[in-house]
Amino acid sequence: MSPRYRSFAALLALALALVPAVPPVAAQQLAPNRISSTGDSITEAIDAELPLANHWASWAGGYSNFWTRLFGLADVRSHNQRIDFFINPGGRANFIEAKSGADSFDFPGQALQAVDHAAAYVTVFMGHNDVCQNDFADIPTDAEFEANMRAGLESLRTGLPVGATVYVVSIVDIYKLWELGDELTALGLLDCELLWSLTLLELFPCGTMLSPLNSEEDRQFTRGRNIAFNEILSALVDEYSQADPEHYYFYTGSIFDTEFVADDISWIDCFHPSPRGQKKLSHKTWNVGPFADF
Amino acid sequence: MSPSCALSTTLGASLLIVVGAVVAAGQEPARQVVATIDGRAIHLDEVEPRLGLEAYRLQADLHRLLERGVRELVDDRLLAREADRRGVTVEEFLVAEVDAHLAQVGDAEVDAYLAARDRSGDGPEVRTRVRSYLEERARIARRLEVLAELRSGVDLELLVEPPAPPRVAIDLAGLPRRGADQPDVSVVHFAGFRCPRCAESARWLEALVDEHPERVAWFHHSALSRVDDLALSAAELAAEAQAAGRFWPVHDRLMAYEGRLTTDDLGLLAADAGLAEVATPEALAGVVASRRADLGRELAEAERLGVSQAPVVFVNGRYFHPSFGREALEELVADELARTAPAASVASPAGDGGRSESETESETFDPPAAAGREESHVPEIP
Repeated sequence: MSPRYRSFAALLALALALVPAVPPVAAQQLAPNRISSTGDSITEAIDAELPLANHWASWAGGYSNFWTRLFGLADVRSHNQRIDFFINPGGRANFIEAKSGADSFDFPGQALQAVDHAAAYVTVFMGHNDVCQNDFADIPTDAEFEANMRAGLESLRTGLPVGATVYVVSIVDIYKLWELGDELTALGLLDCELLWSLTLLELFPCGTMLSPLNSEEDRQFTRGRNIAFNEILSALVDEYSQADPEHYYFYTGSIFDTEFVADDISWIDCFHPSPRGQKKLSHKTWNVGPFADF
Repeated sequence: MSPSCALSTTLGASLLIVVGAVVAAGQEPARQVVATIDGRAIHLDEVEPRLGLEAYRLQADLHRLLERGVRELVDDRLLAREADRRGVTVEEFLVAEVDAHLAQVGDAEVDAYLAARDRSGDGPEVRTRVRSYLEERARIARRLEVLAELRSGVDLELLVEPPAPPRVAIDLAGLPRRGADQPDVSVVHFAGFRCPRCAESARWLEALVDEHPERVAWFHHSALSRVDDLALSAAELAAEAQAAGRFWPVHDRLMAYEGRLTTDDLGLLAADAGLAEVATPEALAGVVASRRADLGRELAEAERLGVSQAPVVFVNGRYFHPSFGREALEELVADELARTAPAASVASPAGDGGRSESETESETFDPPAAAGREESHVPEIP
């Protein structure tokens, strides 16, 4: 490079250094007309009202229509319904990607489905089955959990339409659910411990919290993992929120802190949220969520 | 303040009082007045049976929260006091008493954990998880031990009493009855005919009535599913049988299917019972359709009483869930039999002078209002 050219390059570099950095322009947030809810059995509303999946009663994708009203089924005022009521955007679509039994290892796959559905609003309520395992040896490490969730978020970042919103909800405090079942048993209302004894045969989920063989130390260990995973979710959302100007990321820890009462858990399995519990999930998450002000 | 608002405020306050009350030994709690009509009192124990289990559940929730809050506060205070006594912060105290006492988890312990689960061949990632679990568990155990030591060194008394299970008022009007005409113990079975567990609890009740034919009466109350048309059809067939005075034979045959009914079975049963008008699926479907409007009301009533999922049994208004087992039910009935002397003046739900099942019962099981709060009657877990 000639001395003259070197001088020009140096001047140009200096000039560029002096120009104030232009922050990336945030994309316009899309109306949440296409909602995709990722997660596990809670988002599928397993055992909420009737045995197995009760999608109409899902906190995120729940719905009310002619048939649910005819049969008198629960109306949980889900995010999907609130979008209709408060925002009423055109081109509505509602996809429940959640699957019973899904854990963080399944999140990347569900995220890809949300991308395929060109979702404008993705809810993420995942991690219960990471905390809830048959054995303590199966609870993922922080690194594994983070890698799984990051992989899913990365798919959303690269695949969702510009302006889409990702809303990550903290894992429920599963210790409190155990307390509720324990209370129902102690009060003579329902023998939850009988149901939970099926964890010993791996016929019922969440042996790491509900197994009758667990000590208090075991339950508190599991709760510790619950808290650690929520911290990872919060940190990931912070990171993506700062690094990705094209999408909107939100996190709420409010669900971990939520107090549930006996009527909030399913009387079918003493564990999953009842319609009242689903309604509470929807109410709490919506009110601190990305569209609360609409 | 409106009367209804005043009542609800008083009720709310009373729930709190009940939860937090310190019950002095041997002292009969005073009846609490929650409203007055022209100066005449309405007592809490008159209102509670009408609330079903709702108030009980709320009291239980409050009790749980209060007990947890008390325990956390006690632990915080004990930790602060001990740390203060040693002239350190709570964190420093915990490091000294918990972390400093922990030993490293060795390979042998990890091997033992995996071997006990027949997972010795699991990879290094599983070994990492197990090590982390064993280390953290030991830390938690030590912390709990420290707290237990602190508690044992003080005179600690938890004065928060759990709520007592209520006796709920159940309208027995029109319910088919089996057993004693003037029972000391009325057992109401909320059940459906497509539910195997209902068939099981029905067998228990049949045995109880056979054992105490002069003192125990069994009432059947439909507990319907919102979306199970076949269960609804079966309930309607039973209702038709009741109207024809043939409820129990049809009931027993329906229960004998252990929940595995088909539409054809219903037709066969209807024909056998001489119920020709509902012997075809179309005719039965017509009856069911005309009844659907009532379904919501019946479900609401069942939910008010605390029946979320059939079967549920009420023994003289005391809730019993069959998940606790036959032995616990027998104990509950025995308890009620012991409490009510034969031909005692306890509110008799039937007292119908031996009417047949097809006649309309008009009574309500109303628990004695002035009996005060019962002692805890939580069934023992078998």
